[in-house]
Amino acid sequence: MSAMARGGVVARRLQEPLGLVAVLAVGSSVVWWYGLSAYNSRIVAVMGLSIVVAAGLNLLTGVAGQLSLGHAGFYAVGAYTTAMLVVDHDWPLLATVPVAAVLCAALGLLLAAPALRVQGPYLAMVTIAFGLIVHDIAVEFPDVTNGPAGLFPIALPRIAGRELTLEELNYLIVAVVALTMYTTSSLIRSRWGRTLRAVHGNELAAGSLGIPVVRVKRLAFVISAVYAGVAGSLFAAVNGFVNPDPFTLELSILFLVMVIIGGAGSVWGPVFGAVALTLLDRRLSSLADYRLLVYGGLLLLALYVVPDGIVGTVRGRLRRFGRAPSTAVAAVEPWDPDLGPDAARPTPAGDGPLLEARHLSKSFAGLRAVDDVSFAVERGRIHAIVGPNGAGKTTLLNLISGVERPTTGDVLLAGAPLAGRPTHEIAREGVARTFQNLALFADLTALDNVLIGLHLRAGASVPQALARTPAVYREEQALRDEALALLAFVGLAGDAGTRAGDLPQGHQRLLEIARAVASRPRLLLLDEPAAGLNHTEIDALGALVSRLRDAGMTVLFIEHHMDLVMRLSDRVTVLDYGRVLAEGTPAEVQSDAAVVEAYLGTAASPTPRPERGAAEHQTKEIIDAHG
Amino acid sequence: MTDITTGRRSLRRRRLPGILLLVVALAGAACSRSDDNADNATANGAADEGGASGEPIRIGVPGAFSGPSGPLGEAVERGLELKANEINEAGGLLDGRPIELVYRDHEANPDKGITNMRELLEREQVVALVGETSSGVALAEAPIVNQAGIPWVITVSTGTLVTEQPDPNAVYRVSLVDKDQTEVALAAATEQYDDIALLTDTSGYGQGGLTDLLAAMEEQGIEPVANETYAVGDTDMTPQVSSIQASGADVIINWGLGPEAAQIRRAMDQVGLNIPMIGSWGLSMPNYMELAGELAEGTFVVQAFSFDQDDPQVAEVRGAYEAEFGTDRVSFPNGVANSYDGLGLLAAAIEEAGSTDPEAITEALGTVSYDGLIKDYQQPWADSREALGSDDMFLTVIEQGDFVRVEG
Amino acid sequence: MLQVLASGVALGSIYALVALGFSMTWVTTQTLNFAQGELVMVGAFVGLVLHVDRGWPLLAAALASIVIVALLAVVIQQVAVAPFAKGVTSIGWILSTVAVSIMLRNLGELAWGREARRFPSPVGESLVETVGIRLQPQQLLIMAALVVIVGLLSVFLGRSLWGKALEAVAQNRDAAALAGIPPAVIAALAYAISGGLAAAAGILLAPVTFVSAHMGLSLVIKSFAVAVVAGLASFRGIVLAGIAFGMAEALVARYLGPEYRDIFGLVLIVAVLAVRPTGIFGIRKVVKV
Repeated sequence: MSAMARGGVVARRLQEPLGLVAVLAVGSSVVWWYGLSAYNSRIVAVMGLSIVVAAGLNLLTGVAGQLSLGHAGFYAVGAYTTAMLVVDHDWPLLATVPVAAVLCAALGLLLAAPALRVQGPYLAMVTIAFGLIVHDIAVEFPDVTNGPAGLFPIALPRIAGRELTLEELNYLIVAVVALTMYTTSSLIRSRWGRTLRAVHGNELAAGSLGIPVVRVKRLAFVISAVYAGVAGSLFAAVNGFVNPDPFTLELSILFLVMVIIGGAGSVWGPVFGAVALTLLDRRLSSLADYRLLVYGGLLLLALYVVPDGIVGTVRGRLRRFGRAPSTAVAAVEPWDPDLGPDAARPTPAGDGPLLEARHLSKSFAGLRAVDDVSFAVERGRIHAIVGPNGAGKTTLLNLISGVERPTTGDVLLAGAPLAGRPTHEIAREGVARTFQNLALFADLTALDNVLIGLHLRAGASVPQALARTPAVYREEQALRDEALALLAFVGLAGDAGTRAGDLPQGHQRLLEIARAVASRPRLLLLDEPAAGLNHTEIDALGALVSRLRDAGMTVLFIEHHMDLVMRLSDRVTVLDYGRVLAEGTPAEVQSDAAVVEAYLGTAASPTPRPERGAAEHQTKEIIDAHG
Repeated sequence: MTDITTGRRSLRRRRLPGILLLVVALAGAACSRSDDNADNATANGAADEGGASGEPIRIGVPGAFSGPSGPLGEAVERGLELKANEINEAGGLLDGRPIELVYRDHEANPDKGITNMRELLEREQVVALVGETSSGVALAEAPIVNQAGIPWVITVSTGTLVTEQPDPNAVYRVSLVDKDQTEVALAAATEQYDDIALLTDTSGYGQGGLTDLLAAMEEQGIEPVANETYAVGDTDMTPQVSSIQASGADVIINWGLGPEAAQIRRAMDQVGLNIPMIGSWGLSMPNYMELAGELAEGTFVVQAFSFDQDDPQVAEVRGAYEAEFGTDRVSFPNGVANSYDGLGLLAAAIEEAGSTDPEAITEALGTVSYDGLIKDYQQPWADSREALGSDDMFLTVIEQGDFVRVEG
Repeated sequence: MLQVLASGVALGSIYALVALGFSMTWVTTQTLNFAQGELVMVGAFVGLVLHVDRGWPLLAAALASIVIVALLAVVIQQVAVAPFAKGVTSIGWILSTVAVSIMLRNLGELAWGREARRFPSPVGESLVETVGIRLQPQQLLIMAALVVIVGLLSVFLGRSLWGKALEAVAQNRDAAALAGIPPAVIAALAYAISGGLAAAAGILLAPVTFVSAHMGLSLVIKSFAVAVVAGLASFRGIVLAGIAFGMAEALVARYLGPEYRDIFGLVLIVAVLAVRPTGIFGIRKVVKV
């Protein structure tokens, strides 16, 4: 490895510890410099707390893509928890912080239930409603919260029996900020960060790779709530006073603007955003008449001109100046599917078929897309599903992979029923797939796509990811190496650092296959893998699939390229109008009269296929609720 | 990184009109305020007036100048400016030094209030403070002010607790303390009626008034037959009014501001509740009569001042108000008068102290006298922090669109 | 009690009007205007300025306000919604319309001041007494206006060419486009209609609640609650849900306590979305996989 590359590796490894030291150093200097003036040091304190909230919100909104317009509510809960415990019950302040954290976690969990069953505008409304509910309760129930008059005085925290000064409190806040950046950076750069990004990028694909989408979103919600709660708790200490006034919708919007302007989804974005906006807020104090106008305008401007925020835009510019040095490509060994079945999922004994469909039917509001389909796929075979457009092929695949629930019938994987189980569980059982219209994470690199495909083979837990233990680091390295090998396997090693959406279509299809086989599935479902490929590419694809089969994988694929089907498959099932028309070896099926008629019309009248209306559309209902 | 909007950059062209519109809008907004320091309004162009021209005496003015409390802030601002102009035109204080008022808007947010106060004390280095519209924020700011030892004359906030600070207490007030207002209101109510209903808003102001009312009632050994609240901004008061009706009350004491009080009168009309209502000085703002229209008739309001008097000084200030602000509608006469007198007292104290040393000013405040709009103050702060007491307040009733003083 | 319910009906009618605006844009463009409440505010203020300050007859002022706000809604759609509404799951328009809403609120304050202002009712102030309850005549006007507006809207959607085009896009956007209906124009039209509805709501509401720059926010939340509960099955559904919500809110305020009033609406949103998320707008997004 070259010195540059080695340096790069070291930098990557030490990013979190280095970052921690950097934040501590810079933060402490700032606190010391401004410590001379109580006015300035208060601004610094608020800035630090804003960083913490923004960093947490960034995880939820920037990385996981779940919009929250109510985080001022968690901030408020943190502040009020501390205020009530300190003022009414004489608790020492520092002891209230973990309580605030736990309370916010519970509240986040509670809110996640309705919030995650909906998307987009509903989620926005739910979170807005949450923020307003918290504010209303603070105002309307003075018996509990002392209403608009607020709770005070909140004594400063004590350490070792001595009350901290305001400046020392600021050093404490710097430490909290450093810890926040360490943990968020670790999380974002870990497997779990990728998981969040996957959920943001394409929930369907994420589920098909074994990611429990709802659970992950819930996690993001809870984590972001905890950060906001801790910050709110310290806010009570900084202010010495808590009342409902600051915790408005505008504050939630402000936090969001910090995330966006800093660079949603980036590690250091929240820092830039929080610093910029806190300073701006101070500037605007004399222009208070225009505050909302400026924030709204800023948000709009950011959305128009710099949707990637400060960090994203800078990074984009840097990227144009020179590609990030790709790791030595030539030295990568292509992935070897022969490395034996995954020890965690041994090939089950017995010799029944791997996959069995029994009288599967699926109706969409009166349209029978799949009608009483039964077939079996033997272990280690390549089985093709063919049929004219609209025959129900993709729906069939959806039924097997759990994207759709059958109206009637069963799907059995090595004897165990699959029907009705969520996609990520089915993926866990060893079923992987690609999609007809491609479901790549277009904004992520090819390498990241494959890394996400390796989700099921990685073991780092969330706490480990937050702490970035050496074990986590080692696993990351191993995963990276395997991902590169997978890319080499499909011939894309040179494109590791390219944005998936920028790849040509043929390469995208290969990438999706690499991603799918990363988890070493027992059953691989391919939906029109050859679409858009030229002859050479189709040949390469065929060789790839054969190689997989030879290594023990079972493949079920939908295709229109008949020569590929004939060459590759061991068995073929023909569908038409949702029903099985014929089944057998390629040769048998090719000469079946019914098949010929369905495809080409009768000898007497080779007519184009009649209009089928709604049946032409293979559609999948995305319901706004995810199970 | 992943952007959460569309993930596509090709929409630049589509967004262009939006950007242009934004730029135009923001530029338009920015142009109407010529410079950053516009809100640090100097009381007047002192140098132009050819009166005072020495080094300005900087006095800080905290308050809510925007948002729902805006009208209160506006009254403070205007009262202060009228007095400051008067002083500066006559040559200023301490041999020719003009008064410079330094405003900071906290939007009724204690958080901002604290930050602003620190800015006023440390950055702007004011020698005294005057004003403040929000009792809640004042309570948050007071400890900082006390610690700095800068004297503060509050002119609007009426929360009773505001001046009750532990030593060293730097807070003085020219305003209608809630404790005294409630006394006057309660006395009027108990004079004729037995069953009293309380109807207050949930803001710091309303709550403070409620606390004082309940305390005063307890002292007299009575209890309200109904105790209802509403939020600032509520528009439908029929639930509360219906409850009051059901309780059989003979009179309502209201603590809140005009818009909500107008809705209360509407609701009372709607349910057919025809009992008298006594309100705090908040109802002396003309928005109450404007919004309630005919229904405002018969409302009792506690006040301490009215511009409709025969006093020449009052008439002169009234004329100056019209000239300076271009309108004869004084949006909050009590607030304007308080602020005018507050600055008057402060200025007198500075003269008496002979310097701008905060300690000297503080000492002078204890002995200063001044003939103001509301009354002739004789050493108002010798024994207490309140320049106005219940003796200075009186009950008025709205009759044919005017406030008529109630005798007895 | 009847009195309480009656006062709730009028307010509920307003919620229904604003919710109809939501439905209009959602059904045709899969977007909402979070600044809808501010459009109500602008409508009320424009009406106020024209009618009270300039002395225009009320009907003329109302019509002018409706047209102006409709145009404003179209501007918002072009500038803040359309650029961010590509793709089924993009949410940039949420942020942009939220941004527009706070900007409008600030602009409203700057343009028209911070104080609440009175809007005289065209039908006078003296209460109407009937079946033992007394109503402000404006409240009756609101209820009547709701019926008229919904009627007009139904006729427009069912009979006129553009109305049917709107329906078509609501059912299947791509098919409508193939049939020659320009989705961009329809989107603008939908927003224009929702803007007009907002302005009408503002002018109807103004005599009851006074006009202020902050009247929009709580309205938006409650109207969304109505839309959430109604599920947009039909205009009638929204109207009924709006009135029911208004009455429920009044009952909560009267019998549980006024402090629970706003919380009620907010909790309703969260609860309904938790229990029946698919019951919301009822349109399932259909995507080829």
